[in-house]
Amino acid sequence: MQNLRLNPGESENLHWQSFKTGNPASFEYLYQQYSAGLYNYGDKFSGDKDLIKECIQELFVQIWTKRSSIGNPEHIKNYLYKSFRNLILKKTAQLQKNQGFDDLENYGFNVSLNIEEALIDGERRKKISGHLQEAISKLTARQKEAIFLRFYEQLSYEEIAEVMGITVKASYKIMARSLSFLRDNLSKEDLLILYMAFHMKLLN
Amino acid sequence: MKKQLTDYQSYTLEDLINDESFMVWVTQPNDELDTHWSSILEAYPGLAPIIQEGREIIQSMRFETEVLDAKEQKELWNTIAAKTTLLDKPIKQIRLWSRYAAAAILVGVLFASGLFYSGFRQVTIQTPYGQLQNVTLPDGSLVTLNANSNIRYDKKWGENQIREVWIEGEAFLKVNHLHKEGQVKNNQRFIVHTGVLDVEVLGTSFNVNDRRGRTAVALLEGKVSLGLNTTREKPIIMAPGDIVEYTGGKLNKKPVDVVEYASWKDGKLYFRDVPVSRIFDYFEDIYGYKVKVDDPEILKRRLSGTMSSKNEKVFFETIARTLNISITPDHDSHELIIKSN
Repeated sequence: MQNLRLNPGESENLHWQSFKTGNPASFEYLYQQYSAGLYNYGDKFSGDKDLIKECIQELFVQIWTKRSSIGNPEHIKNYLYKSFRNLILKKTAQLQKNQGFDDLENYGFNVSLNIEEALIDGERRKKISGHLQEAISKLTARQKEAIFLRFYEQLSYEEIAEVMGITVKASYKIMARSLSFLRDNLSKEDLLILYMAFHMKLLN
Repeated sequence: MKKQLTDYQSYTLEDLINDESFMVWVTQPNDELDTHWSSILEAYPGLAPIIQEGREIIQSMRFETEVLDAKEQKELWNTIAAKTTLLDKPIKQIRLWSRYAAAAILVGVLFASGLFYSGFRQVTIQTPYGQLQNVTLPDGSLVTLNANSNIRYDKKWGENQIREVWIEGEAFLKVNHLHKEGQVKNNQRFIVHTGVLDVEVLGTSFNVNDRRGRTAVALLEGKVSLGLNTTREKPIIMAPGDIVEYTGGKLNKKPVDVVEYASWKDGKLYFRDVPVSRIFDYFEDIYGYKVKVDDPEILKRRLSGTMSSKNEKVFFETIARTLNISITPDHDSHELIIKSN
């Protein structure tokens, strides 16, 4: 068996190069790598599953069509997320136009937190999860999106800025505001229970 | 980490959350970061409360994931493929006379290549460590090849040819059912060869694992007959939910939850009271590390649970936390250093 070992970034770049020359297998590899993540990201903008799938479809058809002129983005993931985000915002804005909105900046971003069920008993879990959810829901769409990209997708501030089309400074600012807001809106007790719960792992 | 130790003196909670290395330390800690942050804490014990708070905030940010299930993902891909790669073969209108010319040339080429063809008749696919691959066989049957595995088969299957594949490592197969009624013809048969076993199927989905001198076949649906390729003994007939293991010269049949057993193909692993030593074998087979354990007692412990194996780092981290051990990959020596905490 072979001992060759590529780190994920390298093999992804190889696939990207090969995709640009028109290799269907590499194109499919990119789809397999990113479709689930994009779908999850898209879901936060719109509850309309068909719309999200349509945007994923459009994104991939687009990059295939212009593959030879597409260049080599520094981060493939950021490039795809950014293009996908633009598509979704455009589509939702178009749909909303009929209802009187037409501001591209005016978008929704809805996340739910997932507190592991097995770890905290029912009543308590409901209470804490309620508090957290409430605090988060008071954030603006931009703040929620930045938090999601940072904590869920683990992007850096530079990457968040790239995906959301804002300056790096602005991405720091958005995050700082949202965090201080969360801190003010959660009680010490909530935080402590959460902390313990995450450390009481199932088997040890 | 270009920061001076004194930079941390006046750190606020926001600074911490904004600090790349802090985030990584909380979500995917390693020895280096542990040392780094304990030395900071030692120098500035006053930071303890905000470090604690920062950890809490980061760790409570777990978002619900909206899942694109495998079927939807496949369907969406089919639509995309139909609009892109499948369409991409240029369709040209050829005038009648040139079509004949093209046909004549084609015949010529086929004839000439027939002589060389035999050298290219077989396809071999080898997956690297840490990567799965989906393979479509000439009859449209589907194979998911686990990492560090290989499959070999004829490029084309003739009309009267038995469908045969050779597998090393681990694979999940979904075989197209061609036999409808009457006598089973050759081309309706499908045989998987492993080191010691021949698995014959009609149309079914099953998992084959041939590693470390142990061969195991798990059947999800359909019917499979399984025999040693060295002896003429009567083959074992398997029913869905059965797993047959071949170790030490003997075949054993037992029931398992085969859906769990084949879950690796969806990037998920189920462990049900599995000895830790087996999980470490898996690290070696799939990711290509040599596992070094400082305390053999760890190997005797057992683990249950579901985890995602899609991301190697996260996978190691989940196991490390659950067992309260540290797992540190050394990329130069390809060793996985495992220490009890």
